[in-house]
Formats: sequence, C-alpha cells, structure tokens
Amino acid sequence: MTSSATPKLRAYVLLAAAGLLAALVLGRPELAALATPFAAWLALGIGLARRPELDIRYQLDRERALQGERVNASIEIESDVALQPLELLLRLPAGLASGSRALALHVRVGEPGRVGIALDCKRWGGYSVGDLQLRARDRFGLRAYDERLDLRHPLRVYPREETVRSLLAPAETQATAGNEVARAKGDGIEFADIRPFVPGDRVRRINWRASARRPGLWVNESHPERNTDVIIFLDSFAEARHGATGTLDLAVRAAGALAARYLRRSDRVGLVSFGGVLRWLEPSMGSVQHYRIVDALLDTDIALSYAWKGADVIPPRTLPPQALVIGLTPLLDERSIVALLDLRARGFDLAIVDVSPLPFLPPARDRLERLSRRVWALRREVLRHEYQQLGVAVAEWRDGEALEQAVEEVRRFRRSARAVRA
Amino acid sequence: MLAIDAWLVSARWEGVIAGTAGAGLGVLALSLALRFSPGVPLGLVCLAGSYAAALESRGVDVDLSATLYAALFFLTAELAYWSLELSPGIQPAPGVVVRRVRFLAVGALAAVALAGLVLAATLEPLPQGLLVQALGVGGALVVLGLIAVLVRRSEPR
Repeated sequence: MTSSATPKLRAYVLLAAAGLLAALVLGRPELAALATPFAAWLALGIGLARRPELDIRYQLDRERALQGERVNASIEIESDVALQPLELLLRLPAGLASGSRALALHVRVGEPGRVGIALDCKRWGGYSVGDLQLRARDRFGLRAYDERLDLRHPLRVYPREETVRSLLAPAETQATAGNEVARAKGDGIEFADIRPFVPGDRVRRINWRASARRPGLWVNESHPERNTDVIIFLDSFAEARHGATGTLDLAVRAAGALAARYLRRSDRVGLVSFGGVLRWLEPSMGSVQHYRIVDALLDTDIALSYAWKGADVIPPRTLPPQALVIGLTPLLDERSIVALLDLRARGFDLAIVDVSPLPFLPPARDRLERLSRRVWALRREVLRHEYQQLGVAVAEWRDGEALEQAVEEVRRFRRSARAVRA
Repeated sequence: MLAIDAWLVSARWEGVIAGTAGAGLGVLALSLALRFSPGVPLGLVCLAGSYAAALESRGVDVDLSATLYAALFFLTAELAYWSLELSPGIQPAPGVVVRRVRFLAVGALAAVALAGLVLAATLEPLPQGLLVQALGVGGALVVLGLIAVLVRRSEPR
C-alpha cells in the first residue's frame, strides 16, 4: 500500500508549533496547554504507525445472471494492523449499478472485516468486476494508505428474452431432417397430393379410397420435414439510445429469442453482427450453438467506424444458399441498408424487423424540429416501402411492444407476397 | 462554544475578540461546507487567537479552565477532520461510528489530563531569569524538532 500524509497531520503540526511558539512569545502557559494534545497526538500517531499488510478475498456469488437480476459480491479483508476505518470502493463498469459500492468498515487484527455489495445488472453484456480501491487511515488519522487492486471476476449478464410463439417459415428448406414442412414433395408425414401409381412405389402408400373411384392405382404424396438455415443479421453500425435502453438492446433481445426458438426446432442458426466490427458465427444447431450465439451477442457493441462495408465482407460460408436472413436493424446507417438490399439482390430470402429508433428520441423542442421529425419518419416509411416492393417483408418493432407482433406482421406480408408471385 | 466563551471572558477588546472568533467560526464552517481541508487549521488558529486575546485582556495569571478549553479545542479539530474524512456516498459499516466516538472520548479525556499537567507545571513557582527563559525556548524547539523528525521519518521512501 502506498502511504501519504493526511491534511490532518500537516494541520496538527501547524497547530502544535503555533501554540507552543505563541505560548513562548506571549508567556501564556494556557496556549502551551492548547498545543499539548496536538503534539501528543502527533507523537503517538507517528510513533505507532505501521504500514498495513492486507489479505483480501473477493468473490461473486455467480458468474451468470439475467438482465435485471442482482448479483452479490463479497469481500473479506484481513489486516495485521487495526484499520479504522477502511474505505473501500468497488469500481463498476457501465451497465452494473450498486447502491453501496463505497463502504467504510472496521478491520481488527485477527478479525477479518466482511462486506457484501449487491450489484444490479442493469444492462446485458460481458463484464469483469473487481476493480477495488482501498484507502485506510491509521488509528490517529495522520497517515493514509492507498491501494488499487485488480481482482476481477467475469460476470455475464444475459438479456431478457422476448416471447416468440410463431416463427417465420423460410421459403426453402435444407436437405437434412427437421421440423419445417418442406414445399417439395418426398417422404414425410404431411399429406401433399395424390398421383398415379408407378412401379417402385410402396404398397402402403396406395390411397385405396382414391383408387376405388378412379381407374388404376393412386398413391399419396407427402411433404418431407426438413430443417432450415436461419441467419440473424444484427445491425451494429448505429443505434438510438435513451438512458439505459436503446435499439441495440432491443435487437439483441430479439436476436437471442429468435435464435433460441429456431434452435429448439432443430434448425441451423448463424449470426452476423454487421457494424464497425464485423462478427459472425457460421450456422450450426444444438445447445452449444445457442451458447455461442448468446456469448457473441453479449460482445456486440456499437463501434464507430467510417469505413464503408458491404455484404461482400461477410464470409460466404456464413450465408449458406437458401437461408432465411432475418435483419434486426434500426435502419439508421446507409451501409447496413445497402448491405440488406445487396443480400436481397443475391437472392437471399430476407425479412427485416425494423427496431424503431423513434421512442428513443428526445421530445421535439420547437415546430421546426417537429416538422423535421415528420419528414424523417416519412423517409423511413418510404425506405420500408422500397424494401417491400423488392419482396422483403419489413415490420416496425417499438420498445414496449411484443416481438410477436412484428413477427406476425412479417409473416402476413410474406404470405401475401407469395400469393402475388404465384 | 469556544468562540462564545472567548468573547464572554474578555474584559477589553471585545470587538476584536468577537471578530476573530467569528472569523474563525466562519472559516471553519466554510471549510467544512466546501470540504476544503487547508481552511480547517486556519479557522482553529483564529479561534485559539481569540482565546489568547481574551486571556491577555483579562490579565489573569493562569486560566485553569484552559484544560477544558484544550479538550474542546482538540475535539473540535478531530470532529472537523472526521467530517472531512467522511466521503459523500460512503456508508459506514455497523460499529464504525460507535468505535470512533469512543476513541475520541478517550482522546478528549487525555487532552484534559495533558493540558492539566502542563498548567500544573506552570503553577509551581520557578526562578525567573534568562536561563530559565532559554530553557523554555529550548524545550519548545526540541518538541517541534521531534515532531519534525517523526513526520520526516514517516514519509514514504
């Protein structure tokens, strides 16, 4: 611990010296009597002062928590010198908060001081908590001992999951088995059609009722159950933020919920975090992929960049053919808007959930600002319309609304868009 | 209380004494309000100055109430620095305040005893003269030198 003199030490030296000198000059013993306690305090304090050796144990009660939950940090401090008081400050990263991160405690020799600090997980993310600042004073308050300790432990705060009951069905399915009924005909459970019997057809597939009414034998055809590839395209170029919530928070929550739901039905899910820093996860399935996606989402942040990035920077294996790409974007940055158009132009099955930045704007101050907001909102409307004209389903999702609502809007559009194409 | 006492016991220069004591109180209060620690000794020096002026105005030989005055003066300084040490937003753990108060009470009692000892030593009639005066000056310088040496030794190396 680094040691330094406190202002009190200097002040007491001044008071003792001034008192004794004044007593001599004025010949008043009362002034010497005033100065004596200060001189004695200094002599005792400096004579008995010892640099403390601390033994600190710090731990978090868990390493993972959900957004909004509370995690307890416990700190135990042993010292070879009595410290009264020992001030302790736990520096917290933005996203974590505590009502009592600064504490003063008494540490006796052979009796460790224990404190518990409750940490409120305000925002999702990966944190390391344990930047401790200690300040102790000797018993007489004349010397201060400071130390900064790095005892960081990882803490991962997962975003609250949105409830999604229905999912977007992709236009095309993949070759392996899954839960999505394919549009193509093949071996499966879901009835598709009947057709005339051809040599090689299994007898059990013959539809005897249909065959009785028609000449010849007829067999049932069915749709096979296949899995799908889903790519979650997370726009992290820009966000609108107000206080603790922003469009990126909503997008991450939606991405986590959608990934969990698709993985649960044996689909392969990949992630592209498209922003100042490009991150991607190749599509895969299973609970391991779920953890990978959630961990990747926790590391997502807005990184300011002026470099132009197009869809061509995304590794080709990350975007398999016939994959359904779900864009989660506030439609604020030109680069992500163009990249999504580019993906559509390449023939990807694209759907966009527009995470609306409008609720995060501060209230308009004057008429001109209100007017400019209206113009901006109209431009966003035009942009959405342009996407829809290209066959891309776009639904606006606002903070406070259920994600299910936006997903249902996208589903409705995709149903009608298919009817138009047919 | 120290300022009022100084003003009450004064026989002359009431205005000067009241002014010095008031200035001391003002500086002390302002320093505590603004958390400006260098102002605290200045306020205390003003208070001690008003007391010294009150003593001079009365012209008594030895004021025995100086023992209580010394304890109160010391307690004022300790409480002032305690309030500066308390950082806003820092919650004291249970028991810290009680232990500190107990420690200060013992310190104040020790201050009474020490000041009493000093005054008792002066009550004993000693021979007057230049040599005694020189011994007194030497003693005071030794005390100050000792404090300086201790402070210097406690500096981090």
